[in-house]
Amino acid sequence: MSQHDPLSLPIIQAGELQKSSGYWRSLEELANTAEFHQYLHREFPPGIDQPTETSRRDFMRLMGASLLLAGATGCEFKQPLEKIVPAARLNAYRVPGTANYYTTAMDFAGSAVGLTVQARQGRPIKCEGNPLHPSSLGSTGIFQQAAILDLYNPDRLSTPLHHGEPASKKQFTIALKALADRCDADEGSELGIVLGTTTSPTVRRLLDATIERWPNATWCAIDSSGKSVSSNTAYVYDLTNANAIVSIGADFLSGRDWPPCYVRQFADARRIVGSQSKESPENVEMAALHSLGSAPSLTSAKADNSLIVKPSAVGQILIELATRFDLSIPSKILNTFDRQPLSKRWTSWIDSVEQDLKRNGKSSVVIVDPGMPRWIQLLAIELNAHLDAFGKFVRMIDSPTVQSSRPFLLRKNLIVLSEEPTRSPNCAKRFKEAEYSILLSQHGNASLNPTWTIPQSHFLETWSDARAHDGTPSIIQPLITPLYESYSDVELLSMLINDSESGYQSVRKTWKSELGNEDDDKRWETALATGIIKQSPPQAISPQVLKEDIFKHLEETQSDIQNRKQSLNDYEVTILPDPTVWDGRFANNGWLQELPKPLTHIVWDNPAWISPSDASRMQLQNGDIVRLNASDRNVKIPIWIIPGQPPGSITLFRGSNHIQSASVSRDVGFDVSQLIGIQRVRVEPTGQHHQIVTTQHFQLMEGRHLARSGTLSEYQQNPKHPEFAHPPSPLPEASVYPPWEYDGHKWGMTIDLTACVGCSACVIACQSENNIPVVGKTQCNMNRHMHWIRVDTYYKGPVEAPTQTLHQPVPCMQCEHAPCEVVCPVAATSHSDEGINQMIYNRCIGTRYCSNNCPYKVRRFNFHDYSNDFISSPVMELLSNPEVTLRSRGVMEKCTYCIQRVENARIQSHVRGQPIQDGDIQMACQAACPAEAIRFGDLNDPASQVATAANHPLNYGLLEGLNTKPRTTYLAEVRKGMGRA
Amino acid sequence: MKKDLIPQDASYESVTAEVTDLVLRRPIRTGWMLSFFMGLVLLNVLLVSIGWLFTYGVGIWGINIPVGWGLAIVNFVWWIGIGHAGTLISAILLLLHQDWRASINRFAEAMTLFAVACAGLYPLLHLGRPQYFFYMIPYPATTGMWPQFRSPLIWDFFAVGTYATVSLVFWYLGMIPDLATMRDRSKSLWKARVYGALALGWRNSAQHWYHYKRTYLILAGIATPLVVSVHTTVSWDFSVSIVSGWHSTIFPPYFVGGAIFCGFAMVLVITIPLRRFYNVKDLVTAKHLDNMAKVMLAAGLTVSYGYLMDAWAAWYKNEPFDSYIYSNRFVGPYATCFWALVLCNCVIPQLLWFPWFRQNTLALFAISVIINIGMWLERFIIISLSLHRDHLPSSWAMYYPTVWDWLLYAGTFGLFLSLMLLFLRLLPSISIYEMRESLSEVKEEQG
Repeated sequence: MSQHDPLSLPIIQAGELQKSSGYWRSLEELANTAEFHQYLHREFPPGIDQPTETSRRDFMRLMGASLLLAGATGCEFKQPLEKIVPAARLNAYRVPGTANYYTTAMDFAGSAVGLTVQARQGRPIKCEGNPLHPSSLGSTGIFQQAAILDLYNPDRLSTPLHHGEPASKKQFTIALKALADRCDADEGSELGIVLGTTTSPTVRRLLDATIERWPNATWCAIDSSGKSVSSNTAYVYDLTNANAIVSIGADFLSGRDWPPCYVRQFADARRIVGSQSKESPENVEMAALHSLGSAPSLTSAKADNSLIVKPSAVGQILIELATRFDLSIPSKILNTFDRQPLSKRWTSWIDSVEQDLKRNGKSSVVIVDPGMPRWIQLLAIELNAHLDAFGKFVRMIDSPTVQSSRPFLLRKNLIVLSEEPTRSPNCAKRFKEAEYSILLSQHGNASLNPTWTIPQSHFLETWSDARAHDGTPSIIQPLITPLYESYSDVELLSMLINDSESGYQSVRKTWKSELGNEDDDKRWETALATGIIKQSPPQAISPQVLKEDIFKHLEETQSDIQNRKQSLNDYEVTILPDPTVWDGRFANNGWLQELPKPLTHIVWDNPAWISPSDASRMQLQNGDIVRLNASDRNVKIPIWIIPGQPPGSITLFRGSNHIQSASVSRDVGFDVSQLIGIQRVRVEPTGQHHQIVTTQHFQLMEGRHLARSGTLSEYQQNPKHPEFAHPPSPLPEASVYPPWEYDGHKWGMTIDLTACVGCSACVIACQSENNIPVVGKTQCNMNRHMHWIRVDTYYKGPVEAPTQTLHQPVPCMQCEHAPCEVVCPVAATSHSDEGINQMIYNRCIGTRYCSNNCPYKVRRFNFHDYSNDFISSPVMELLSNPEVTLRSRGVMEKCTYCIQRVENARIQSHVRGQPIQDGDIQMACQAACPAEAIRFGDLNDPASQVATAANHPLNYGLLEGLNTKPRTTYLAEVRKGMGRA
Repeated sequence: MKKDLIPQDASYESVTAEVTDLVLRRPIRTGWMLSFFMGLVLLNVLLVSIGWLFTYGVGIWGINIPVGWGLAIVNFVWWIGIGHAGTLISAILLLLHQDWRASINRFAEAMTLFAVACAGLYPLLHLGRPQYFFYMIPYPATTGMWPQFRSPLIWDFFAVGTYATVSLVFWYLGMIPDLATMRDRSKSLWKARVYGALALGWRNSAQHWYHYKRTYLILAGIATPLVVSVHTTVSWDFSVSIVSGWHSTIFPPYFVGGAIFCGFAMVLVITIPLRRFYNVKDLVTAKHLDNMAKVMLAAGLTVSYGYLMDAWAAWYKNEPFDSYIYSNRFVGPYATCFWALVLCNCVIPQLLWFPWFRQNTLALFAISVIINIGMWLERFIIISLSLHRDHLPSSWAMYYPTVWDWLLYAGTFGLFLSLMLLFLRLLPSISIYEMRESLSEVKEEQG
């Protein structure tokens, strides 16, 4: 054949020589060389493209080898060298073909959410919540679900870059050593370390060690808006038993920066169906939610009494509320404030809150957003103190985040341990001024021109630790060795000060006293298996201490209030992190870019929110580009008209601060980071237009009873047959076909609209579980998004201030009389003997009739080869769930109740010799749902949770008048109801 | 009356000569060449669109999730509708002894066949995975899988298949005596051989005629229910579903009425230029056109009645989804299409009450074209518009056909035109023996 045989022994031996770990288990691991990889990635083996005489025998040999090795593509991954400990609930060994679960945690926006990550043959594929972790309680938000995609993102930086040129790890080690030597010389007076928001105790310990070695060095934690992280206290709420909740600008139901546990607490405080203590409908108690904010949010949508006003008015309304309770308001605040006359809506909101708080007395709590000005926080503390909520519903603890040692000082040598600070243009500008800089980054950022860009390890590749919102620590254990030549912040810091220490050793050293030395693994392994470190809860700080601290800083109040005084034509600005790509750290995550944003359902964009009246006054349509002018800066951005946005204000979303090397986020969104810190802008139409894509064009129910809701008193009037859940409609019972009979299981699902907050965690969880591809903005614009479960949003009431915003998750209804089944000409969708409406992808020929005939429009069609287009590189193949078929072009797909999970439970039950218990099977959406709104189980088992819910008077079927007899049913939403329109 | 349908000075010889000369004697004319070139260009458009479709999938079209069926299915139903007139003219009019059909039945049948060929392409092309279309065929497979017989698509598959087969046989059978005439009048040996082979040894014997007439009548009997059944089955594709705007019991008669309506319009669209350019005005007379216009008027009224009843039923049911579909047709984003449809299918055809419009070929041609456009709009409105706003407002969306949707449609015109021109050039386009038969009857009447 050729002179260069790809399978010749020398290559494999070369691979063996390079291995340091010694043993090899498979051919692909053995031949771990660049040549081997080149061979794998080339269509033809080397030599075959040279015109040589090839005998039939040689050809067959090559073909055989190619086929053999085709399966080996991209197999360069393995578990870490250190012992990692699976979650105790499952098998402790790696069994080929089965899943293993490891606990770890994701540190995000000031608190960690504990995770249980599923690994298949050493590759992590799915994140679930860790039930033992206080921030998670078993569920997750969208970011925790989508984090796995970031791990396999093909855009990740793979080697260190020195002035933009690839360099080896060794070169970097030498450079770092040289830096340490320079620091030794001047005791670190030229060294500055910049962090993002992190809660890692090990990072904190290493920073202290750095200062110990070089006393003149500084560190500073900067968040993505460019603010130094320096609030010493954090609030921890417990809402489960509260009867009245007042939110001051806090979007605590978002399930994003507020950890998912708050959604659970809130849902439990309002749960009717499935709640133990609320058996008899007459005694049902339900927490009322009052929300005051400056932009529509998931929290305002869920509130019984919501008021959205311009940012400047929030303080005044709060003062007004405080005076109703005769609180002493510092004259410093009162004197500076010129009080505007209260509008009718404001008064009615304040009246309702006053009444409710007075009625509920000591079981009320005020939640305030930690980003609010200090004087507003002070008022909230006063209110909480007055309500006696401290200790019961709210605690203040030392903030789990690592605080800045001092404000940001530019030093000659700068180490930036996170991409987060570089998202603020101000900070980025100053980083560029550093003489020598090291940037730890997932994608690299050439515009900052760092001396060294070091690939950052994903949290699933690193040893680290993190704290929950209430201070509970967790060990972050890796599930996989780093895919690239990357470092974690812990590794980089420990290399800087002590070059022999690995990340694992650093973390163990931090927890030496709690978890024992490296030779004593017992407590350590328990901590790894459970995912939390048991400690006594952190000391609560008395509100008095905090109040005094705030008083010290009260002079900033004056400037804050002064800043907010405005001229008539100005718009007040609220800048929020983007609800799906956050501060931009997830901008290169296709799942999140394509996740419909809450309320607007916009994908792949971040238009400015504007009120309907402002838009009609300026004759603007959705997508019209405006220029926002603020003194020396201006930003061009398209607008989106959203119900409930207060007139005279504009809401912007940061997170589109682009990294040009990123392939997903390139040319997506509009960068507003320049305007951070600005409070007023002038809005000027430009006459240009930008195509904005939304996945839900219509948000009114058109008089149809789709998402049903009523008030608690309406429910209590007629708990046997609440009218709002069952509007009069003739229900046809007749069918040509005989009813299905189910001897064994009869799977069913209920979705509790009282609990659902519309956070969309279910959507990403489903996408991750079921290998659902991303299709891109153009295809979304053609209404071809692929989500198997979607969250519909409907409004009620006037468009300026909707009285109600309803969320309705819609997966496949698994109808008993499924309209899709009868029309498929080839029986590619059929009814299983357990009631699941199955998809047989291999059989589907793609007539799309099933989708036309589906009244719920939950079926999704592969108009193009989406799956293959999405798996753009071999590393993306590692992401796929091996239990779910990848769908090819021309095939219909849809939710099948995570049939793989059902079958796994069946196998387990056969192995154990016990029947499947209620709760053994968790759908991906159900597991992720922070509100526990989704229940799944056997309807034939009358004691099961799902059967209880399905038989509850609040239960109804979507479009039940069509006689499809949906298997997935809803529990009508019950609201507290304020007696207000 | 019959004498209006054949030329005054006609003899057996002249009738035969006039038809066979078209093929055997007259030279190929520039007009034909130009039209055929155009047909070939469009045919290539068809091939390119199919190639592109197979390379990139149905995603090149404008269809999406609420609107799973777009132009492909609209065009399918439209072409199938056009394919109706041929068999109707041949079979039903034969059974009803409407002798005026004699001069137009042959190419009406050809038109049917070619229209069905065009229509038949779409259900295959619109599949997401056309390579597996054979799953629709009931064949014994190792998988043990059969088609799902409850699906109207399967019924449709058989109905269209049967219709295409019967139409082909009926058309061919009707041509056999004429093919023998062609054989006898051919001057070159190879032409005689080809026509001879196609004539299946026809010797014009009395026994042949006896069997032939029987067979033809039986086939006509078989074809007649098919005229009604095909479009009924096609309408079931929609009315069996639960989509508002589709789910309606009036669909079968109203679809058949519509098919006759646009089928006759298409026959006129072809006949009028044909008799002008081929100079066969004496064989296809004004009386023929007048009769066809009357049928069209009647079918048009049926269709209008269908629209009215459908709308009335939607109102009478007082069911929110159906009422919405109708109000959306009247004032929704596609309202222009709906009012254009009313104009084309209900208002303009009323002109046919006036004899002037039936006799003026130009006006009749224009009205026929308008009716064809109207019927296309009707299918578009029924199929795609009912889907774009169905039960859940959260899924509502617009449907915009893309350039590939339109090119494929244009391409099928190429196929139709090419086949039609080849037919005119190679086969006897008017039934010679039936013309001779009429002539003999006229002569007998005159004594």
